Amino acid sequence: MRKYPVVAAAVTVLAAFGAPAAHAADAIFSQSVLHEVRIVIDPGDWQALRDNFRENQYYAANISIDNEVVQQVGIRSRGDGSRNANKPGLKVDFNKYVSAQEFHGYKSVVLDNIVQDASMIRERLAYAVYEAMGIPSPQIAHCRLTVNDQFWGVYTIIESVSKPFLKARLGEESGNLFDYEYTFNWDFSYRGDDPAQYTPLPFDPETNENKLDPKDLIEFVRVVSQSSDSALLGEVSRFLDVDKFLNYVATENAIAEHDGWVGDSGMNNFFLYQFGNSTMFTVIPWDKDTAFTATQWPVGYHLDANVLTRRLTADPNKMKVYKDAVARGAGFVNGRFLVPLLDSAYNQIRNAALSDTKKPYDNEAFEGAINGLRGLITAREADILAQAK
Amino acid sequence: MLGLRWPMTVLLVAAAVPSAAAGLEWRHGDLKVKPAGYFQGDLRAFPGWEVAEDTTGLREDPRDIRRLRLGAEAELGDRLSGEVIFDANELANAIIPPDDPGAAFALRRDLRNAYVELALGKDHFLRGGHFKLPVSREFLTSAAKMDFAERSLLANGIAPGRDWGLMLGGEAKVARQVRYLVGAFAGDSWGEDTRGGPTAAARVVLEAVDGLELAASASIGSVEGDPEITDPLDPTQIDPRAKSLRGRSASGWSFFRRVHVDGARRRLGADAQFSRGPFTVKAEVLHGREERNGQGSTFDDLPAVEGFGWSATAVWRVMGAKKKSGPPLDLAARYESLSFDDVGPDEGFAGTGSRARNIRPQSSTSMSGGVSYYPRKWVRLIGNVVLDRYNDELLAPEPGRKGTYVTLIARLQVEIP
Repeated sequence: MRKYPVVAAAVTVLAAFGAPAAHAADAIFSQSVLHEVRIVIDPGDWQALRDNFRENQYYAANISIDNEVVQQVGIRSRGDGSRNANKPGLKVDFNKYVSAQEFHGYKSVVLDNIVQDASMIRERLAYAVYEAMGIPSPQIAHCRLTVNDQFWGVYTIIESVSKPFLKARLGEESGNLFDYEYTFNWDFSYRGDDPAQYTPLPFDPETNENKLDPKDLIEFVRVVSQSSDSALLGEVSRFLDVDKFLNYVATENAIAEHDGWVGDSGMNNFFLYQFGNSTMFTVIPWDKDTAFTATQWPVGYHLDANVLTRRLTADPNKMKVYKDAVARGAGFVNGRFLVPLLDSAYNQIRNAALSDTKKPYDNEAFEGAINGLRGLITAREADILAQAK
Repeated sequence: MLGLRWPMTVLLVAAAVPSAAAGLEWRHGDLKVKPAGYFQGDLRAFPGWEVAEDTTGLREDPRDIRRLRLGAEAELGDRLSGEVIFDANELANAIIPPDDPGAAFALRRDLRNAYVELALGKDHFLRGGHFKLPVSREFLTSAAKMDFAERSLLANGIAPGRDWGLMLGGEAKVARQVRYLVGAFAGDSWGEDTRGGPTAAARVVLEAVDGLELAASASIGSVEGDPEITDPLDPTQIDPRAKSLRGRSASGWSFFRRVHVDGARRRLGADAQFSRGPFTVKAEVLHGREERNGQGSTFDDLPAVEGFGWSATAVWRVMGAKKKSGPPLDLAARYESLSFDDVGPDEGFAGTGSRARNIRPQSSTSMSGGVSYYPRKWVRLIGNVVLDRYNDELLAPEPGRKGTYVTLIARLQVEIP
């Protein structure tokens, strides 16, 4: 910040003016309190869930969130790398056993075990940046989880990306929502016209499962690989708001996320939504607990490793759009914006985190990770701005 | 135009099939073959309530070909007889939009009766083939002759179906007239995923006094739980199916979903019917119990699941009880209940999951009123009002709403005379 005071100030002002109005959090995702989540479940079922944590088997349970009870919900183990027997990540489906049951309008929520982030607050900060950059992202808040009256640690309660999210944040819910399931190192190159090459893996349909027609998705991938350089932008624009997409990837690199669209091992951790009665797609961030990897992080990291980002940023005009977005990101990836959020979250969860015996790291590691994260986000701005010139 | 195809087809069937089939019989020596079957077309409404968009099972299509039974009956001399009947309703629904019934024909799903019967003297017979297991009075009644459009809760939820087997039947006079059916079957419902293993079933009916029948029935067999998935990435492995009894109301709403079972499957029932003049009253109870060996979440044994149902029915033939008293008109009323629970102690978390140790008890009580009118010998018009109540409002069609759920059913039935 000392090196680029004028640029940084300008970016911050621009970012503040350019930022969309904050999405009003629902009560269950309010970040002003440490929520209390209690699960009552047959002890045998809880043991089975932990024993079989790699399976998506549902179990019936009662759950209370801040003393509001929901009966007969379905819970199952969830996550990819974060799947854990000792501290299971959980998906809670309110309507698994009770038709149409909802909680505050939600059919499901995620209880993230945060076992991959010793600071426990990376994902919360990451979504704050996405939101500030105008990218709808899931609501998130911290909670204490007890299972059959036994404290099971600090979790995050995260809004599921599903129809209520689509309706509230994108304005409609009739389209095709795909959960990108990492199965192999893929760079968005064309895999032929066989739908089986795209869905249900890696694009796992979350809506319209029984009447899914993936032809637009396949065509989208095809034109990205096969369009001529001169036709590329026109062709891709039939499927994507290119500037918004570049803003998404720029945000990912601004927060030094190493496991996203341009991740270390191919694409990962996002939802892709095709709007109803449209060929247009948009990307929704997911599972950002590996953000803020390092202070020094190339803002063009892995752009060349993905067919879509490589071809789009080969256009000088679009590279400028990308760099402008990165620079705008510096307005939020800095101590002024994030440290207050970090301190607020830290103060909120500290006591519970220190008494969380299920977390796979010790208290020293937790405190160290918090301090490290504070230093990283304070210093990250200068690194971004230096590269975004 | 599509909207007219269904009623047009119904009228066509109603007019053409019976008259064409009436008296139709093919003879060759001692062999006599004649067509058999009937058509049932329904109109349904659920006034005042609705279910979530993605709910399955409810008979929501307001125009449904409920049954289209087609087949033939045959006799060979005085001693051999038999019949083959299929239900072609899925085929018909496939032809007539807007249904999307899946495969138009599937042998296991669509086969109803396929048996040969050998008379053993004047009073006894031996039947072999595919037919109903002799347990529930309600289920043993042909769907064309039921008092209401839908079977009773206990028949839908607990009674066995049809399967391949051998059955001895007949009647004898032991102080009073006694009828019996005793059979051994390969399973208890060949066409269903929930089929059990080899099953023995028996039913005894005592004509206690003139017009009064008292009956007892039972079946005993086993059911095998599906194996667990050992490799989630192996597409040939499918999720184990829950095979237990179930609770399903006339609307199709499942108030008790199947749970995983393994071990002995037993049914025990009793029923009575009394007829005097134009009045008939019937009552039936049926109890079912299934073991859940190794069906717990950690492969532990769970307390058995049991279901208990009862029904009481009264029918009054208002017109047509005697010849020349006009076309028959019946009024009927039924009051019934069906409940499910496990046999273990009510301790710990009571769940709705398919492997719940302590099953959350579920029950439904239903009251039905109906009218049946036979304008022609082979034509029957049915109107039913069904009032369902559920003890657990959480698992009612509209979660949290306690109260009555109304189902209206109108049916046109046309039989091959």
